[in-house]
Amino acid sequence: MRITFPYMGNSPLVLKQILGELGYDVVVPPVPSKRTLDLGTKYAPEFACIPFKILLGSYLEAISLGADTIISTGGVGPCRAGYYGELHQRILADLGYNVKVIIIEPPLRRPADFLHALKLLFNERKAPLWKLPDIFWRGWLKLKAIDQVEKASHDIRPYELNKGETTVVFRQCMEELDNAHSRVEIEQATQSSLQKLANIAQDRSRKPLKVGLIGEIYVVLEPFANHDVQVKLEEMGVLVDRSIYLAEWTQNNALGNREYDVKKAAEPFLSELVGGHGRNSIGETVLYARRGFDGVIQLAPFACIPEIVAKSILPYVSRKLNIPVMTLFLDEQTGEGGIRTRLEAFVDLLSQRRNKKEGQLACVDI
Amino acid sequence: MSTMRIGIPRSLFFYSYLPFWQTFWSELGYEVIVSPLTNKDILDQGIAHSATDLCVPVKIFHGHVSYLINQAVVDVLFVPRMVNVGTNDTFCPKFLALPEMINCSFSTMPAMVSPRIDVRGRLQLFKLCTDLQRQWAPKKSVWGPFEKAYTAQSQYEAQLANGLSIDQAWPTFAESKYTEAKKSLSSITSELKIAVLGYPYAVYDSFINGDVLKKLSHLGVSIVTADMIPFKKRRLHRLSKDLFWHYSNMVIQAGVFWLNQSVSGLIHITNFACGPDAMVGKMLELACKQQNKPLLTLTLDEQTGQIGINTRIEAFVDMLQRRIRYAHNLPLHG
Repeated sequence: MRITFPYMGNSPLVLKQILGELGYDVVVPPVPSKRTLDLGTKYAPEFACIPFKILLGSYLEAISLGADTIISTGGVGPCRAGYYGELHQRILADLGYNVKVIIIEPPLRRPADFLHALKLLFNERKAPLWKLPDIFWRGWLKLKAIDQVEKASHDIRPYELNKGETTVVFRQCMEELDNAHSRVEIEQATQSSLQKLANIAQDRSRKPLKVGLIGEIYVVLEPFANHDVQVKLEEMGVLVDRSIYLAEWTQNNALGNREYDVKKAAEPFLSELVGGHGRNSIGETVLYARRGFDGVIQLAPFACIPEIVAKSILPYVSRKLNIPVMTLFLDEQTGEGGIRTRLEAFVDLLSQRRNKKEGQLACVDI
Repeated sequence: MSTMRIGIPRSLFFYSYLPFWQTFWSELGYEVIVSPLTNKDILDQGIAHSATDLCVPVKIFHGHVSYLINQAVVDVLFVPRMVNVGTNDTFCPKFLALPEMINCSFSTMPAMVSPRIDVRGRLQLFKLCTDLQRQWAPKKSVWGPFEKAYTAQSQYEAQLANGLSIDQAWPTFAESKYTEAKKSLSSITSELKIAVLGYPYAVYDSFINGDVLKKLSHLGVSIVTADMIPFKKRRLHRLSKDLFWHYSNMVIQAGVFWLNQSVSGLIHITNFACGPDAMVGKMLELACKQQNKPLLTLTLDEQTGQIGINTRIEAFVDMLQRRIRYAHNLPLHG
């Protein structure tokens, strides 16, 4: 069984390790590229969201590298992501590929399907049963370590003296973590990574603008899908707080939805669950406004239903709580230049707003 | 006190559940104001009041609400939150957040009735209606209005299943220009039978779809729709994993049903950037491919011109006729 999986953010490092240790031949899909998206766009329905297209493209690339089994996630909606696996399977079959798609459904909502998927998955494993807890636990530790290091890098980048240094160091850190497998190694790699990041030359006297990044999980987590918005902003000297990290999200959503504070914050504006991250987008905007952030940027795939719902309510939230919100809809037509221009304009607006608040005259460059 | 006026916007849930709510509210002593057929003005109003990325039916809904608030000046606006009608699937997320979206989009709003409709069976519906009656018409009884409304809705659905068009089954659907007598859709006997599939608010809004149904019947085609299949028969054609959305399941199941009933071809009416339809469309495409039946997808939005639709329909019908007369193995795509 040559197995592959959906590519999202930093998660391949972890999935690769877990599946490898279970004894499978793992085909790591290539980092999503223009080619991936082109392939996906060609065979996906026109109005499928960009995560669907990137994933389809990345499955096709993995298949050409020899994969014959795909692990995918299921869901119960009403977001379309819960149906990705089913439709990917049909499209691939229609294209004539003989691949097996194992869809892991949420264990509490569809227990029978979940167990069936586990059976399919574990039947051909080579690792003995008693090793499984350790394999999954180390995978979890690694996921948490990756998130911890990434968070640290986001805290440092806006202050870096040499533009781009943090990104270079961060890449080294990820390689180090990639090679760490045992508990001790993971711990050591985390510490040394954090140390390396802390050694970057910084100017801590800066007072960066604070921006919250919200939206749909895939485009928020996958830099290729969002044209690396977070790093772009940070290199403009903005402190960016991302609302979603994979480890936290898994902890909150693996069994039930536990993000009570976000839900409560969204309540006055949207009381109904609309699927995906629609309600979270509203709730997180409210929380960012309460925490005194300067602005919020919403990232969403074009035609994403829950985020469109959120977008049509956000202007109201923005007016009520006096916090600027900008929405970026992303699809295969989105150009990097357009994104950069909009980010620059938004950051300009925020800094003028802050100057005005602090009683200084807005500085105008001519 | 003069009679209160309640406004029902003509879009989205309207085409499926109007008989129930119109009867219910008028029996409770309200004057029911139904917004007129969609027109250019309503569409423009809708576009002005809604987020740019919404699909055109929701924009049109905003337009109808705007008409009811500003022109008809209703006292109460009826915008239910459609969640579940007992079929184990929910409505599109845009239906789920409809009251909030409407609330955020208009600065002045009359009182809004937005019950959360999550009912499995008649008893729960009755309970919901009791709550509505207690709040909005405390002096009336709920029994009579509920019974009448329920009967009206059941009759309406039964008549649709018998092949009547919606304006024959429920007169409010036929207004002004629509009143010209029409033949019953299924009474035309023609060698060409086409299934027109899509969400009720896409198929029945004659303004936005360029009156596809009329156009097709003028071309002498006999039309079948998703409403003509009784619920239980339709459910026999479920997918291995149901889609999450009520109307989407309806469309895909009806599609498979009619494909098995040997229709000549399928027309799928969808709206630009419709989320669920990205999935439904592909499923229909695959189903048609399997059965070797042609499929025409009409993607409509506020920019769509009538002429473009006409041309495509005529071409499609021509192609189907040629397929029947000359060969059965012509390629699927024109």
